[in-house]
Amino acid sequence: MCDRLENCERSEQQTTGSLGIRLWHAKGVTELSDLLELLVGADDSFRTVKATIRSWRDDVKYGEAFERHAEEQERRSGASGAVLVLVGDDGAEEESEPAEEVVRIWLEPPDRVRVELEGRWTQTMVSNGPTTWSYTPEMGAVREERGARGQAEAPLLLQPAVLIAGLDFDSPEKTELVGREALHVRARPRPAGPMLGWHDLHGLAQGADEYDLVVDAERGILLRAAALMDGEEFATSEVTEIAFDEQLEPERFTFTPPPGETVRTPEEAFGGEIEDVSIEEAARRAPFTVFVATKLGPHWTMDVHFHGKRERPPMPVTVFVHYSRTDDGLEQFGLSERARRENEAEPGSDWERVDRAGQALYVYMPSEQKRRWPSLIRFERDGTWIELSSQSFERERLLEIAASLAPAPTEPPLLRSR
Amino acid sequence: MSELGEALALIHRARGRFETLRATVREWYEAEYARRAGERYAATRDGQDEGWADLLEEREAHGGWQSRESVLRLWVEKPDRIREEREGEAHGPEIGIRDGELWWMYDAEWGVESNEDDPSVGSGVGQGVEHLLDPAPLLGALRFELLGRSTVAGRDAIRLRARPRANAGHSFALFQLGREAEEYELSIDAERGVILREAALSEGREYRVTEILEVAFDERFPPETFALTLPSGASPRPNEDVQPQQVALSEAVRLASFPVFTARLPSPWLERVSYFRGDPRRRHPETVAIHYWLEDASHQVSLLEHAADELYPLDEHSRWEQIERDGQQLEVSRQKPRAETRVRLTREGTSITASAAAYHFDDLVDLAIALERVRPT
Repeated sequence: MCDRLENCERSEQQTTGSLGIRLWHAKGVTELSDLLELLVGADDSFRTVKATIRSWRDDVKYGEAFERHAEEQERRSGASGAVLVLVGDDGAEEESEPAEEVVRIWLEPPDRVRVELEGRWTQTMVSNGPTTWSYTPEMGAVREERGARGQAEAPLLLQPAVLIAGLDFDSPEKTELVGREALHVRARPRPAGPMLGWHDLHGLAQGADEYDLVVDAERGILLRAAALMDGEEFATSEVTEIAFDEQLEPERFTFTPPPGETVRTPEEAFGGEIEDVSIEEAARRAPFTVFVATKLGPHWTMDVHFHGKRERPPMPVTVFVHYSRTDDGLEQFGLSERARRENEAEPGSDWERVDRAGQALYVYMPSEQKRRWPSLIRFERDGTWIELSSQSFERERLLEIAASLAPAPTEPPLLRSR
Repeated sequence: MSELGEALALIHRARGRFETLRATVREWYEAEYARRAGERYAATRDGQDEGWADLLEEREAHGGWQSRESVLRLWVEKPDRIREEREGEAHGPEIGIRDGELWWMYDAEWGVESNEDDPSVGSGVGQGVEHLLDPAPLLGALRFELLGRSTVAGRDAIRLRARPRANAGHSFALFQLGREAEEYELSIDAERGVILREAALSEGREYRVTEILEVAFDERFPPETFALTLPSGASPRPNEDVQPQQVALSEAVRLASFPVFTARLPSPWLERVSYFRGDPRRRHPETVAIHYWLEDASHQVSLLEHAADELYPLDEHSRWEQIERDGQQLEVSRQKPRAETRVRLTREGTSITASAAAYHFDDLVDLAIALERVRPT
């Protein structure tokens, strides 16, 4: 029996199938075709599904794997990829305990789903036709008319077809999980090439060396998916109970807010959404002095975003000013500004205190292992708490920018001629 | 084992089924049904999420929809060499070559471009056919139905009908097929798994087709296949040194063959002037550009000036509205709030376009009206 499907090519035999077409019939190919047909048909294989999924991950290793994945993306594309930054409000790079969560899901395609999440966060989401309700204790209950979402909200385990392109599969072996016949199969991320495909394993922990999958032999959904690095699992999702094609109570797809909660519209809940504004408008509206960088050359532009005060979760008025060069687009930096809080916590031990012209600045420069993370400077100026960030600049250039900050104007400069 | 499963396995493994490929590919595109497909998709939930209405509006503003047909000759040598030669109305350079990190493109209008000076700069060479040679990403984006057999380019093929999955909105592979289509028909090479023919359909009718006319696998290519040799009579660059030069305002006035105007903005505005002597090959006229900026990067205003009897390429597809102010005729191109607004006028044989973002439209009009001619010293 072939241990790897690609090794089976050496023993391929040709026959003529019912379509009169030459078909490759190696045992490995047969297994691959059966496996793929299961996986692509998974989300069509049930009328309803009710399931409990338990997930776990080691945040540190998850972050390392993601970094590796992002560096590979950057190497292929030449552009900076996404950065997963876990820098807390006290400045320390977060290293947390392994995260566990349990998801309960009721799904009736095409447009009915209920998801209840418990773990580091608690969340309920119900979608029924065009209406979606979501609830977290921090943000309260929100209802919006988003159009039918339904199956799109289902966990990856229930719609594994999206993973196929990104994986090379070993031969599956029969197994059993949660009382169901299943196929156990190892898979490796497909190597990306400059010309032939880089495949996004969206939903699986990215950057893993390999994945360990258990596929329901009847339905094709994933009963278990684990990501491994150096032979050890660092993230898993596993079905602990599941039932197909039951009659689901209609009440499952209605939303009842917890006692004392009022269902709000997105405008009511997120009234402090981020708005694109001019710097002058941001300066007029902010309850603190807004600062801008100065001594910039002709190729710089700014974009300004105003984030209004939000009650749930509590978030102060914040102004974001993003600078970028128009000539090459490679150099960028940003300012995040809000009113200083009483008892503002000082940054932790990862930060270096630098005193410049009587101003205390707290500088965070990422380690070599985290060289793709942004450099940060935090400080207070006239009651405004400012964070300056950049992936483009060295320490001294950032300190120069910090020293150049001046209050933003509240009116645009005149365009009238002298 | 089913026939559909076999087709899926072929698609999944296509990328490993050849070392070299040489092909002639025909591409055609029918504008009316493409437009209707785009409008239909823009009205869907996914289309709204993906901003298709804005894309359609932008397309209309830049010439709308045009039918086209082209032929592409293709040489691929793994892992990272490709050559493309285009004829007809295709989008893209006439010749595109990629060899590892390096690439070269040649077009009669633009001459030769390359990243030899900076290999970190990428290109789109090969991206248009990537999904034909490695169709595996389509497995997650489409639902397939077996239609039967066919012969394409003399090769046995498996015909499939495919429809987008509900959650396929962000699939780049689907974008390459034509995101707006209601369904697709694919012909998969029954031995190699590559796509021999793909068609996007709207209202049951094909409107966008890519089909391989001839193909050969695993040939040996001579080394010069992936080296750029210019067509007979072609020159490497239209003008080697044609780039805007930063100059003093007085120098720009001396160099320009047309009167030059300035806004004379007060402090704290700063001024930067550049002169471009023109590039006939790229239909780019002689221009003077004056850029006004602030040290805090909060605002910029630009003046672009050229002889009024010449066209500026970027203006050709813009929508201009005629207005009159203080007895002067002006044209304005209004954009959405906080995007760039432009005001254009003609003064003493010079076309002047003033542009700025984040300023009220009336302020820009007032600035345009108040422009002063700079006399030679």
